[in-house]
Amino acid sequence: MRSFRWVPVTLFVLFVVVRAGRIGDLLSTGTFVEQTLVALTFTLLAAIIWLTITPWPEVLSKFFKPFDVRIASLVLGAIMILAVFAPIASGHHPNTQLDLVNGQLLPPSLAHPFGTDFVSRDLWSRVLFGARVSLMIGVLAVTMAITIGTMVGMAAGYFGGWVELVLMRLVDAGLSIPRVFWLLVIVSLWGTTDIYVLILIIGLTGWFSTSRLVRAEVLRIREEDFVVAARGLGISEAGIVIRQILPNVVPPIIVNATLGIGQVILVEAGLSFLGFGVQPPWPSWGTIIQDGSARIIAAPWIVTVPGVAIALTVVSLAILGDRLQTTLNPRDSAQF
Amino acid sequence: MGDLSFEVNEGETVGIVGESGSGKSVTALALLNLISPPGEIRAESQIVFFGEDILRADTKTLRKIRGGQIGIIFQNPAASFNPVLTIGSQIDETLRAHRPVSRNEARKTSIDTLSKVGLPHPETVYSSFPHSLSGGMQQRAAIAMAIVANPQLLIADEPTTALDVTVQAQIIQLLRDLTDASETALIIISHDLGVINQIADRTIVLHRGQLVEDAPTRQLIEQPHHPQSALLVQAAPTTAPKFGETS
Amino acid sequence: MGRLIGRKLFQALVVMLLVTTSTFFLIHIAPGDPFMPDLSVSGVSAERTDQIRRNFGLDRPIYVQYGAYLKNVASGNLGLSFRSYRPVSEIIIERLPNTIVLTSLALIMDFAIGILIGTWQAWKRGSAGDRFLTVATLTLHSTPVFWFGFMLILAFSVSLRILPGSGVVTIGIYDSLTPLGQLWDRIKHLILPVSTLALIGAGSTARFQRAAMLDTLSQDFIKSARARGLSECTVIFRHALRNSLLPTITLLGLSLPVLLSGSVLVETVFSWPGIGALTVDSVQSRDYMVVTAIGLVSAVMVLAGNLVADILYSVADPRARRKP
Repeated sequence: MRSFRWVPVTLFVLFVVVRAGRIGDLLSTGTFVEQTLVALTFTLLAAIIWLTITPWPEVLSKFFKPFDVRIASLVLGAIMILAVFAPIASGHHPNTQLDLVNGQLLPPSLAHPFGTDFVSRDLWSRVLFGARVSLMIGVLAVTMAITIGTMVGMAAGYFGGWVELVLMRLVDAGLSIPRVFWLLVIVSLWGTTDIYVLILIIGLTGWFSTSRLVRAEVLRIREEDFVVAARGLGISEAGIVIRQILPNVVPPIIVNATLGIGQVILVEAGLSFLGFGVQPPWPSWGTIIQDGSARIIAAPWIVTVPGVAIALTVVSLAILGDRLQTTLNPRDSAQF
Repeated sequence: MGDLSFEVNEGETVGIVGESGSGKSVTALALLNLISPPGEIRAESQIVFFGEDILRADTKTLRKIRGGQIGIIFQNPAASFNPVLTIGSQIDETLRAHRPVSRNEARKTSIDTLSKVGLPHPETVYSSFPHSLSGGMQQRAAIAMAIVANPQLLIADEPTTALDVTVQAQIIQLLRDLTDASETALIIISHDLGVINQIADRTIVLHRGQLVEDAPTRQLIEQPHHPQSALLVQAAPTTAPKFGETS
Repeated sequence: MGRLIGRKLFQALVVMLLVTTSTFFLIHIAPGDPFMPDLSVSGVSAERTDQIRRNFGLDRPIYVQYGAYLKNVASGNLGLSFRSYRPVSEIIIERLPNTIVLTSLALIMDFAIGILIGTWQAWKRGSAGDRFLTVATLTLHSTPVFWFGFMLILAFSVSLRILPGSGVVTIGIYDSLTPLGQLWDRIKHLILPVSTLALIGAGSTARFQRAAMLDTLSQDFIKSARARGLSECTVIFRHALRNSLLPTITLLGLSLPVLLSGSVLVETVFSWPGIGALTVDSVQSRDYMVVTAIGLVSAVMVLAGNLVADILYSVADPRARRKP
């Protein structure tokens, strides 16, 4: 299936051609940021073409062999590119109220691929700019959660004793309260509207399960023969942690992170839906659903579209996460 | 694995010997048509048991042969039993799958068989879970499960490898007693010619999936023809286990 | 068994103390208190606001408040709601049955469907049905639960008009119905919210069960069972299914917090007057006492679920009975 490689590049060229008019507009009248974005489009186009014509390393072509992995990467890639190039892909600002008299709750059409909402904003632009917000929250919050979780898990697994006892009871407590509850309490009490505080809070409540996973891995690896051998050879404890244990916990952490981004996107959507997440008028997929929920009968597409976007993103991430698991786990490499 | 052809007569004890990876265990599983994918048995192969071709038998016949006419004992005694069911219930179900007996009769036969394989307190063993028995006791129970339906052929795949040396000798003795007392044929598979020597009438030597020698055991030990057989004869401990091997 | 339960109960107590403490401090170190925004806007004098604060003990140092609070909780007194001046326990008890009915029905349906699908998939591994269900369960697993609720409302309440999409009973006509009619009315209102929670959960459960069943089927004792000539039915149901359920029992305990999180969203979507909707309300109105109590109640529910899972596990697996 070598020909499959030409699918992304074709789609991307198609994107540039279809939006050529918009690209021209931005080049001549856009802000500096928008002009940079246009330049980036062509750089990326060149990169994608280069990637298509040069041979891939064995590892990469093996990774992308299964059909579902290809589709998932394609979907995720498309969503990410549309998010990054949102100003090019959409003709409107996501918060502009286009026509308050005749443009409210328009069903999907050529001018508005996803229709408009109750104050006549273009839903396609809102979903694209919403993708930026949702993906950014997902990536940053997971980075934070993974960092904390890894440190706590390594500390608990390695030091054992009362350190482990205290940390793990803390994790138990964290896991025994529904995450949405923690988030609601913290977000509402601090009355935050700032997106970075939101990321911080989601990150701070997301590390519990990672630390459990890392601890279990450390406990397992600590007893393995090669670690015992390293200790027997007189290698320092710090050296063992960095050279022997850390490399072995990285693969499960990467898998955990990939799946975690999807979970954070779901959590953010839920929180925004309850009115405690990203604050209007800025769109995230969750806030768009919340906006639309009041008009669900008159304009069902407002609720439907961002939900489909969320599901597509999270499914793709899950497929890639599963694939990473089989690829990165040396114990499973036989089937690879 | 290459081509392989041999036969076993009624009441005979045949040993299959070879170094690890030579295809001994695959042979054992193939005899019951239990090779799991991606492995497969070549289409033109035949395994004939009392005139019935096992590889072409329908599910019902195959089920009747498995456990009913051919019993099998695995290397790892823990592998024979489902860890969450009692020993007794698993022996019962084997018997009841092949003989039309009531629950009570099955229970009685199972306990009888457990005492036949030399387990003390067979009633206690009957109602205990696999993990509460020692390895040697588990293997005895596994043998009981394999012979409970009176099969004409017993396959023992490395039955002693996972056990202590002292227990090994007891298990071999038990297998000998059982086959001597009945018309049951036995195929015993081992990497250790010393084990085979104690029990088998005839021995087959496998090397890289090929049959390289098929001879009466005594003759094989005294005059091995194939160089591989000679190697195995040299490697085998002569009589008793070597000093320092008992753990 | 007794020792196991005792140990678990002690652990649960520690976790509950941690939960209470952390929610209490989280709330009390947060800037502002419930009487700041509302009362000053509504023209209540500063003296009156201070008076109210004193009534609720909010003027005392935080550690004194904490000590008093722990003492009250230990004696079963969860305090007064700042908003309605009613005992918190009364408010919780009023809402709890709705949530318990919703989540327990969802939990049963979740695991019944999930285990059934997962087992079937592992049995028919690689078939067209297995591949279709793999995609379907993954999609459910990745769908926002509240959005799925909206989709069900759109389909069954808006388009087909066969099931109600909000509330516990049909307001206005419920009182005039016969007892049987009342029951049917309640069931009709349960179908959509329960299905929303259960189907989303079943996606994860089925994926988990499929993996557990495949793992079990690859084990030696299954080969042994086949070698003994047992029927496929016996092999699958008596030997494989039973063992594959062991990890799924552990999942049961772990999925309770997820289910409660989901119920906060689903109760909001379906205007279901339970603990979840109460959480959103009291968090919005900064009703500290109610919020802290909900944290405690959720933890108790989750820990009780874990305890049940542990007991089930030791019943199902004889090996777990010996270890403490």
